[in-house]
Amino acid sequence: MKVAFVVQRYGLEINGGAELHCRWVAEHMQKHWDVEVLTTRAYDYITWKNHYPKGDEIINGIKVKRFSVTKPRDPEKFGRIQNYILENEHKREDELKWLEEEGPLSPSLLKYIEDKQDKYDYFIFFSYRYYHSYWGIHTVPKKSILVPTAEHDPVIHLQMFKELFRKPRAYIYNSHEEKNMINSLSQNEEIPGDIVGVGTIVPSEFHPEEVKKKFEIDSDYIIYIGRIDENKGCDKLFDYFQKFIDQVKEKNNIKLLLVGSSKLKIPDHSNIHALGFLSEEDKFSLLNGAMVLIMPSFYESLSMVTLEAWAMQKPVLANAKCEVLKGQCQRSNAGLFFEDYLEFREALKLLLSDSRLRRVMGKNGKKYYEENYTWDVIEKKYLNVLELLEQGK
Amino acid sequence: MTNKKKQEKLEINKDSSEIKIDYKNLDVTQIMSQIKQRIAKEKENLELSGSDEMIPEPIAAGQFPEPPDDKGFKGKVKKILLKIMRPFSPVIKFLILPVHEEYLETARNLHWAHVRLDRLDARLDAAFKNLGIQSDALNNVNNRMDNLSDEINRYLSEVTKMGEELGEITKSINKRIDKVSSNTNKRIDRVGERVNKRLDEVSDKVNERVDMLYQNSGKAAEYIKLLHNLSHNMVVEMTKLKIEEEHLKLKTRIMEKDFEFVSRKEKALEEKIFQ
Repeated sequence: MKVAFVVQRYGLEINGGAELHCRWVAEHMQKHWDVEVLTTRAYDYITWKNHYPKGDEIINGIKVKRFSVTKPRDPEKFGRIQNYILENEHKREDELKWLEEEGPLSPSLLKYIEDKQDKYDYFIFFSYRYYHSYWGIHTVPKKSILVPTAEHDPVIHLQMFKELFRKPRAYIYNSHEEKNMINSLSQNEEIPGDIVGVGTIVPSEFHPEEVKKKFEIDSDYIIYIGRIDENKGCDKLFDYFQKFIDQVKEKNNIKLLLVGSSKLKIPDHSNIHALGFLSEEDKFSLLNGAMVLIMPSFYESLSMVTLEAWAMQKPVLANAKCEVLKGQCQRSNAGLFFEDYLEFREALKLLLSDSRLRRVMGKNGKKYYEENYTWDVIEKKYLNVLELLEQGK
Repeated sequence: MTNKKKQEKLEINKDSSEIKIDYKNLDVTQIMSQIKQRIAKEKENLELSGSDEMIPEPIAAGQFPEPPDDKGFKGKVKKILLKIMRPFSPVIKFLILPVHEEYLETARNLHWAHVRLDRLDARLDAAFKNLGIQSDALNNVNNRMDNLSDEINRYLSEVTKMGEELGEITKSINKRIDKVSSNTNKRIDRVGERVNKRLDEVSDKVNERVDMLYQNSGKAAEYIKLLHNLSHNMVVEMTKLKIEEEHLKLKTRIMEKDFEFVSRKEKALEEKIFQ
């Protein structure tokens, strides 16, 4: 069976979001199917400027076909159009204009899909909100499987997406919350699919003590891993954590470690340490030594870091305003969640002071991860979805 | 469940005295609801002791901050005048002593009394505003509660109606199911009888044919024996005939040779005779 994975960006350097999700799934499914990746030449997700060379490339054994982006995104113009369509009554043409501005605008990718559709049995599209998915699914609806990676983003309520969500042949959702949201938006319950998500690989060896020495960490710590960004709720995290240190005297030696590239000014506080972007080995070693993983993000369709924490038996403290994170904490019983500072304070205080609770939550997290997010389970679910489609042919 | 078992199940976390955690069947939703209750209590307590906050902190004598500078044209003129009068200030001070210091202190006190009054006024305004907002919010909540209770009542009556309708539908469905099932059972019985009859007939016929075949198979075995003997005898006869044929062939060859010899002898005799 020949399957094409269609995604906005693809490369070893891209280490997060739907793109990494796509790469991992493609790499794992290549032992079951003849896999090809259709993508753009973009690396920067803000402008989609052409970065990678044109043509074919082999990445970890998979053939990757790259197509040029004809017009990079103008962030200012895009922001203006987005504000207009979100705040005003508008027509379908306005939404299509917004989509074109959002990009990545690559007509040659769509032309290829249209011309070579007979060459592939199925096309798996990642991220519902981009140009390639919208027009790609319209081009080959009978062969398309959508991995929406949808969040509670205001643009999901655009009329064009309600229609889009009724087009694909099947769905691969990341979470129950995502499925419910898309079902309620477009009443597409009859379209088959499954809640799959993505697996993760946890290294077998860790060196928490060595890493602690390397980064000069001399006390207990909690950790945040990911892009340090306002959109990820990091400003709130800084605010809450500083208040916590001021108010909870018995825990004022606890440190907050930040792992990831920063797009936000990090407060100059003796308990907050930004370590920047780290290697996987260092990241996992630090996570292994942490007491709790903090996830303050408002919008997540599936938090890979949360799954990694659970795979390593670490409890999570998540933003309750993100339904996916809250739902996952409730289903796994491996994390607490907060809506405001007072809840953050109490939940963190409880987690830090109760080692047994942390241990039990860690075990629950591991169990939840093994039942739902190991690669064997993920691969089987993908195979089942395609088998179901084959039976229905 | 005994008290001991209960104690084992619900172990109270010592550090967070009010939160009860069942470690064996951990439920984070339940933990969070306990945390929420605890926060609500804390907020209640804060609100009760909140009236103290309204009283402004007393300002110690001599610790007043400097009055703010006048800005704009007026301030500039004041500065220029002060600059001009600076050389004469000791004289002025001397002339109005000891009234000068007292006058300054009183002026400061008056200024800060005004400031405090303004602050209190602002706080009072804010408090009234908050009260207004809260009462509006309360009214809104009450209205929403009323609306919700109306809606709930409406839904409840609808649900009751639907329940009654459902009951009737279930009754009629049950009746029909009973009827259909009794009819089906009768038909199944009838079909079963017919099938059994046919089965009996078919088995009788099959038995007859099996018997016949058995008898026929005995005769066939006799025939096969006879045929076997016949074929054996024929093979023996054929072998004999073959041997005889070979014998006759040999005899013929000998006779041919004899005949050749006799004819040669004849030719030789003829030659001798005619010589």
